[in-house]
Amino acid sequence: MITIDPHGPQSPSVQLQAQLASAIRAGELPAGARLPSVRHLAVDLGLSNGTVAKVYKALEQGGWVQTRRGGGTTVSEGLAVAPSLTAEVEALVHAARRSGVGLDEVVALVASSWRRTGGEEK
Amino acid sequence: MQALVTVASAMLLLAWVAAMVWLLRRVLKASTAPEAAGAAGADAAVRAAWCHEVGRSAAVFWVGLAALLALGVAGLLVQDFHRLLFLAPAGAAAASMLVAAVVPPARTQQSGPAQADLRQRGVLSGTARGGVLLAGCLAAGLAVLAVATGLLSVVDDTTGTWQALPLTRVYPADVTFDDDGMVASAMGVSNASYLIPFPGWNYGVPLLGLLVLSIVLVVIALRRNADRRRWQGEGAEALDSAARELVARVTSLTLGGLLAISAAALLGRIGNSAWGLSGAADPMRFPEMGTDIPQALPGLEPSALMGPAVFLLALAVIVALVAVSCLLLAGAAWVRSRAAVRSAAQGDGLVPVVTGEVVA
Repeated sequence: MITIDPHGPQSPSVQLQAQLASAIRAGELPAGARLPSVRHLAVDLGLSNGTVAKVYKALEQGGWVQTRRGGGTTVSEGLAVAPSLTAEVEALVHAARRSGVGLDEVVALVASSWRRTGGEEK
Repeated sequence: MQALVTVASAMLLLAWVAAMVWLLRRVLKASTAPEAAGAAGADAAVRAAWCHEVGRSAAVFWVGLAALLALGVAGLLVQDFHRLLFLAPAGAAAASMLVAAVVPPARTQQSGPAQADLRQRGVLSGTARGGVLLAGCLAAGLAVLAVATGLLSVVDDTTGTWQALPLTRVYPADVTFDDDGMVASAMGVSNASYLIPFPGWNYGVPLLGLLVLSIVLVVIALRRNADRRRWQGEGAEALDSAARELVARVTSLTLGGLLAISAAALLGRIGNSAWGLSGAADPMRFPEMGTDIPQALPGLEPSALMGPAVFLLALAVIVALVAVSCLLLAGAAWVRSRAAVRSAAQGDGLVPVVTGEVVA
């Protein structure tokens, strides 16, 4: 599900691009899946066709999707995070909610754990 | 032959009644299922939009049924009632598809963040694949039969319309008998031509016109259903998808059901002609020497066989189309199950893991 807040701090196109990339990484849009048509996405989100087309173009340039004439826009191979990792992240989110911990705190905890275990912060 | 026609017509009508009853149950079930599924907490605007779509679907169905009955009753009141009765199902299909195409879908006002799901939407999204295949196969079969009967038909001089099938019978011109009453000689040949009622272009052209109109309208209706903006608001997700599916299914199944009656009507007309041809076949074709005329002749004129042959061909085409649609459905189910198995295998960790940068 894509949610665009027209009054959010980021522009609708940035929100859309980030959420589509997240959906691909999470496997919500698996490799080979066709993205919704530009027209339908634009109508549903109240954006112009040009805005959505630009986002699709940016995703294509970043290697996230491929566009074939007559075949629509499909998700590229090998971008999804392992399903087991996604499940563990979901378990973490549920545990955080049960404990009343907010998103910012969870992100900070993950970043701290990342650094402690020798991971590079990007 | 008459029995075959009756059985075939009755089977098609029974199939239609069963489909319509199933459809009606689906409409009723679908109109209450989302409420039961917990969508009762949806925004008032979303619930109103859902009620609008339920009403629109019901209108498509009931307008088709009402038009069928109205045209059937009107057909009994006019002089050329055979033609109007024959065209009533196709006319009803066009009327119901007109309602589906013209009545605007429900919309909700935008308030707060806009949402969209990531599923593809197309003309066939949410339709009952069986209903679409049935409607497509019946439309193709009706078009083929309408053209075939048209090509076989000739102008009926009494009405000036293309609704006659020529039949030529051959008689001996001069027969002599011996003392025992047996045929001694049969000289010369005389032809006698007859015309019998047949669907022909007189029925085929308006039927083809109504078929094309119905197909254009159903494509417009399904396209509008897919293209309409997703409803926004609390509880919109479930009701929006359910409403799209409801409209698509009712529309495609109503068209399939009415075309099934149209096919039955065409088969009935062809069957009547075939029956007429069989009855007109003269048992005394050309007497053989040394035979008694009343017992002379087994056999039918070749032309007399054309009617039953056309009818059986028509029946075979319809049966083959239904069989093909069943095979296509089974094939599609098999492909889906294979895809599901493959997807499940990938879900077990067989998907390659590659890191990637989020394009921002």
